[in-house]
Amino acid sequence: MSMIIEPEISTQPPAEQPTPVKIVTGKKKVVLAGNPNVGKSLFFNAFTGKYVNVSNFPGTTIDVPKGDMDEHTRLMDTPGVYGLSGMSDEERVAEKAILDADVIINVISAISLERDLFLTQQMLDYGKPMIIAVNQMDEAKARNLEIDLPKLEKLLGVPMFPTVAVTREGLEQVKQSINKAKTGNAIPDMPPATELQALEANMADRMKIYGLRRQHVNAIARQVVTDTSRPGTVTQLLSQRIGQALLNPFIAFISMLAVLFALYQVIGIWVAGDLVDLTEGKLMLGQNAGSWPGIVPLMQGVIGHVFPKGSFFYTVFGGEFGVLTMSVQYIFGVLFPLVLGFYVYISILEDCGYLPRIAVISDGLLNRIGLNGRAVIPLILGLGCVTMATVSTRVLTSNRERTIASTILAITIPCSAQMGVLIALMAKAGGLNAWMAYCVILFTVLIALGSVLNKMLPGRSSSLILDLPPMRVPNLRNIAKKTWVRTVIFLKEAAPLFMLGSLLVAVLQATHMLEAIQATLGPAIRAVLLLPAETAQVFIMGLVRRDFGAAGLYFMADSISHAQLLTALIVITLFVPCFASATVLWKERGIKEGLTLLAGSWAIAFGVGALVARLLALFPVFG
Amino acid sequence: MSPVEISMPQPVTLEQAKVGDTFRIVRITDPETATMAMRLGISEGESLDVASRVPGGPVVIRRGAIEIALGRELCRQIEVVKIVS
Repeated sequence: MSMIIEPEISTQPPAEQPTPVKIVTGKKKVVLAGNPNVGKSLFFNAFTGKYVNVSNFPGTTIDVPKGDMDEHTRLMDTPGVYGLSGMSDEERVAEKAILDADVIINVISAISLERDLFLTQQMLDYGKPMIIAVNQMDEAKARNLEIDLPKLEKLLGVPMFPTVAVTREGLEQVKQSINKAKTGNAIPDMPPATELQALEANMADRMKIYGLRRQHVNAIARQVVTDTSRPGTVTQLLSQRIGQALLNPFIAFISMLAVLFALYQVIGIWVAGDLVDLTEGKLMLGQNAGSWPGIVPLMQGVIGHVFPKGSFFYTVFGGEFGVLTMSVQYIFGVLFPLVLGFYVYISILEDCGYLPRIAVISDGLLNRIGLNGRAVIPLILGLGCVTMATVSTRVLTSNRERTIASTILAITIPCSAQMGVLIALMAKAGGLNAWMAYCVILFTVLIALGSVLNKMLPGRSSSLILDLPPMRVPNLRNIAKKTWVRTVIFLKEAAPLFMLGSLLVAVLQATHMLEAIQATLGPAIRAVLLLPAETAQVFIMGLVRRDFGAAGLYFMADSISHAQLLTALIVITLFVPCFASATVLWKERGIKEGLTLLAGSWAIAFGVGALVARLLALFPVFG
Repeated sequence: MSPVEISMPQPVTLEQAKVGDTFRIVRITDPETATMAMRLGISEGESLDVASRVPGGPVVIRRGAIEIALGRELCRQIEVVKIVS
């Protein structure tokens, strides 16, 4: 139907206006649909390659990525939803896209068939041509769930393919089978597809139809899923006991302390310290590396041959903040080992079933700031890299929650790059007392910020509904796969942004704008924060790399008071996230929200800083 | 309280349900929550076990081998009667 250009045929005599011609794109519209977090975007990325255009759905702030699968087929991703009931912007967008589609690729998760099949059946009842990808087959196997796919295919009446999207298993087959899409089996007693939508808009009818659909789907799930785990074995009993114990607040608290301490040890000391010394110090810069000159000096040598040292282009490409020097040094020397380490850690926690339980335990607290337990994952990731964490806010259910979580991340969470310098400086600022003051202040800002956003933003956040997988010994293969895929995706998204950031700063430096900005900012900082004017340079550096900012303070630490040092550390934490995370923020949340947040973070950083500076001057506890 | 009321199974909300008991869902008060819950697989007439409760936080229900955590707000909307203790 949509393959042709057809003039609208009218029985009326021609009017003065020219005959309206309905121009439709000559491409088949294929839409990806499914519940949240079933791996849809992995399908999208695998099917479209690089020609992707992400734009807001008309009238909403919801992103709908579109891309071409081939010259005849256009693929569109939709927000993950549990059904088409118009309960949120996400659902309305998904519904419009699905009703408008020529073919639907429905991605369902093998570990939650009962839940996922509701949306599937709803689309079947609407009479949409469809194929189904049953994803996370590996995970189902790990949980001893056997799924009778041929039977499911027969019951639903549409072609079905097992997939493991993280490793791309089965994806090619799905892609090649789009033309096999069929309108499957609607529920026999359902009203016809044409009337169904209108009926479902009415609450009383909706309840009846949904009830019927739920029963039908449950019956299907019962027929095709077999749980082959033997209950009552020692392993299973132990897994259950541990799972239950972790939901005890006291045990959860102790375990959380242990997990955070281990995180600090593994990421903070081993990865951010020892490993980065090796990758950034030795490999990139050639420090203490014997005869190895280091990649950056080698690069500078080559650039020096093309552009004379000290020239504009040399500074931009090969200088201190150069695009080919600093960004390469940072991306591969610092970010890569850090992000890899963090994802290994998080994947282990996730795979063994610990992370979902922490989400449950922290749900009550997070409710107060307009989030639910799911947000614990991005918040923990933020302690690693705020840029990475901002990308992961996609796991949250609504736009509202994503806004709150990204704001909290950008403003109040110190990333691990900063943490190393922070730890060293805290010792100089008065040790334990300084740490306590720092934590109390940041935590207060976090809670205040979350509460204010929760009050200000329209709507309300969604309640937690979370499957708790059984506790188990983590599977190394799973962890390796997940870690690698996540790291590569992250680097692909973030690397260009870091390069852009260093380009900007390098140009500012080459044109001597950097000094000018510092000179203007200096007096303001002295007046507001009671800090020496040179601190301006530290803050500007913090924009490029958060740890640069903190490191700059290190050289000033002995010449300023403890109170001043603490003030500066708080400001640099609250102050804008680094350039890369600001850019990711713009990409994820839109330019308007990004700019508001940027302005907000300046205001909060300097507001809180001014307050802290004066309080510390009044009560000189730190000398 | 009259003795008659005590012998009748009074519906309570899932928020008040005790760990270890089995309940049947009789009603989900808020239509929006009902829509949401039904799509996720929790509908009126179904029975479930309460596996654990986090003080001030979610209630974890068990259906067969699957455990699902439900936020407090949601639990307040779900009316249940005890069928087995």
